[in-house]
Amino acid sequence: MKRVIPVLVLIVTGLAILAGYFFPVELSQLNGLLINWGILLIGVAGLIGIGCLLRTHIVRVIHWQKGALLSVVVLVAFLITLGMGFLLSPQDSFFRNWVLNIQIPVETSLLALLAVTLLYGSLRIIRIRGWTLMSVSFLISALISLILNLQYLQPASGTAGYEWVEVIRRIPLAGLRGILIGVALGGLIVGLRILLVMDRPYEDK
Amino acid sequence: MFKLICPECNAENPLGAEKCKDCGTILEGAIPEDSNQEKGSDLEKEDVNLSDLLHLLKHDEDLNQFNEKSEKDSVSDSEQADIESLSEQVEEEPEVPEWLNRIRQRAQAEPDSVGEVTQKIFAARQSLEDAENERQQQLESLLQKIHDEDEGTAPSEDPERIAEPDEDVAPDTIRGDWLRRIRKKHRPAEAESADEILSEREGDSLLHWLVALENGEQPLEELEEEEFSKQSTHGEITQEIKYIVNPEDDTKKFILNDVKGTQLEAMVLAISQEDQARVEQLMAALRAEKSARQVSTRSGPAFNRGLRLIIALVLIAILSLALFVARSDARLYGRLRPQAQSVGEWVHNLNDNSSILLVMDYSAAFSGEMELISTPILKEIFKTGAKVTTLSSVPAGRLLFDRLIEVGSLESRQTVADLGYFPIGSFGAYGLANQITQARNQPEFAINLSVEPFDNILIIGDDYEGVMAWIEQIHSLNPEMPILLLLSDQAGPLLQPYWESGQVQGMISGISDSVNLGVESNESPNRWLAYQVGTVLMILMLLIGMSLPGSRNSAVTKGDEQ
Repeated sequence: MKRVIPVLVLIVTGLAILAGYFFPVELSQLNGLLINWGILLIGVAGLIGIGCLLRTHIVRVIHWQKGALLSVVVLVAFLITLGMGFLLSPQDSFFRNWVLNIQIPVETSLLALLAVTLLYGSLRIIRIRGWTLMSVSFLISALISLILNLQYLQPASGTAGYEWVEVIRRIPLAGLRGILIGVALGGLIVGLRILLVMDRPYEDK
Repeated sequence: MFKLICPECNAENPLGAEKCKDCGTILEGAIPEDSNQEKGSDLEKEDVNLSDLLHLLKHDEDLNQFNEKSEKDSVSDSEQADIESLSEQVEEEPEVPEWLNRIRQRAQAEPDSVGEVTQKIFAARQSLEDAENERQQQLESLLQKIHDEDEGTAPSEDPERIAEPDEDVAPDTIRGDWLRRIRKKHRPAEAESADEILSEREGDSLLHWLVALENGEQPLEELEEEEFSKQSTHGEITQEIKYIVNPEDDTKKFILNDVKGTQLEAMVLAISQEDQARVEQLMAALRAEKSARQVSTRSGPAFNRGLRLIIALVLIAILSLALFVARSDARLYGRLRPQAQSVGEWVHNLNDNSSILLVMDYSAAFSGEMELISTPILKEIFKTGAKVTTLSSVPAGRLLFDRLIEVGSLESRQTVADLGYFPIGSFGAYGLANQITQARNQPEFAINLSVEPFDNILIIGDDYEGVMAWIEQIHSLNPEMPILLLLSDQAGPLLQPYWESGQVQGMISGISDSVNLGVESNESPNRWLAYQVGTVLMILMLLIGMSLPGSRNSAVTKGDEQ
């Protein structure tokens, strides 16, 4: 019974949502209810996650383990943001600047580091693997893409150069369509496996 | 006590009774039975109290231990009396059933009745005693050999004679001889004469030699290093090593024989080829560790670090200059792509009755790029007087929208409704599309919605996965709903197939589309120039990195080693 009930809930919910695509009018209320329940559960899961995070950092500070100083920073920042969020509304300009003026530089710096790391990684391909067909074609395509993004090459429409540039621009689209089709097929198979109880991600295994 | 059992009601009647006291049946011919046996059988039938049985067994075991101890150690009379009294107590214990006593008696009388485990234990004890006796005999023979060598017996004597003591001499005599000699060494009072003591002590004690050296009785001899080394190598323990190579299993066997002073059996040490390889590897590592090393005087790492630092500083300086040097009135030239052109046409066709849902689906890291792209579009939307509602699928979505409004100075233009934050974009999209379906088909339910159904959905995103979920959910439930995208430069190419398939009405991807659409802001030229400079620098770094043969070769070898 302990294993049957989750399976029944899963199958009924999945089939109802799936049927909602074929009978949107008839099942709109039921699906709306299920979606609201789902969003509510996700919100509760978020609160539980915050609680677990806080407990981990509090334990680390109490026992003064490795990284306790960073945990203190996390806890102080969390409490300040939480308190200000309760006292001030999110529409308040001070609260908005308090959050975004910290979040935007931090995330942008990480993004810049990612760009540099990717560039270095593309160089490492040549340095490690040498001149192979794969590495050379990868780097040449990267160079062509960067040059085209500069928008310095602007041939007049109707010319052969224009057609060639268009062909080169469209080459990545073939790969992109393949990626999208693969993602869709993967999602379909995962959904079917869960509906057929071949996979049980809700069990602790 | 014997009693008569009634054959009809099984009642107990005393011996000699003619009729049953309960049912009146004539007891003539009834066989008298022992009442104790009856109790025992009843006990077997009943649910036996296991704890009592275990207690009795433990008590019995303690009693046996006490008896054994009394036999071996000859304990005092008082203790013996205690044990006897205890055994009497145990025997007198009324709880011990008779069947248990019978089993114990049978176990003592018949060895075969002992269980298999107990028999094995007895056999193991017997084998241990045998092994101990054998070891004792070997020790005695070894000591006998030492004794013979000390007395100058010929070393070439028959080893069988050494191993086996002389039959004429009784073992007790041999044992007494070596024991007496040892006692002479350690207890001089038991020695027969002083000469005997000295002869026994001579040369065997370092302390004795040192004392003799101190008193001048022993001459100081010069050390002969070569002889000493020879003695140490061929020394007292001489080893005869036979080296056998077995071609079948590639296993080398070392047989060590004839270790002087002991009668060790031949030891066979099997070393496999793998072990030999490990040993050789270990020896090579030890040799490399002990070998003289050249002090590394290379300044390569420091030089490379300095070079990297200089290159990084140059790049930062160039990018900073590109941000501030560009003129704000400079025009950017480019070709307007059809998907961006569709967005322009859509914006111009909006009117004050239009209702737009604005989905915020980008993270704070892309706020700079997204502000450049979306602020001019928002200005155009607000110019038309369309109703705008926001919905966030990222936690900071509402804050980012307020920042957009602040950057574009659009605070006083329009009142914007906020639907809040949906934790998962696909849930939000599905729920929203479902609500729209409800509102269209059931007008009475529309009053529960916070806003009226939307005419258009504008998604501002930086990640193709989130935007893809919105497109797929909304388009599957409301195919007529126009969807427009404002995307970062990296998400645009991945979502272009949706525009080509007609699921998306229009899309702008990156700063270049925005400026080509002619809706650039004052900061666009600066940012665009910085973007171009950064791209050129990346191209140069790629080309330089590809064309460095020295670094490539060294890296190839390092990678191969890894």
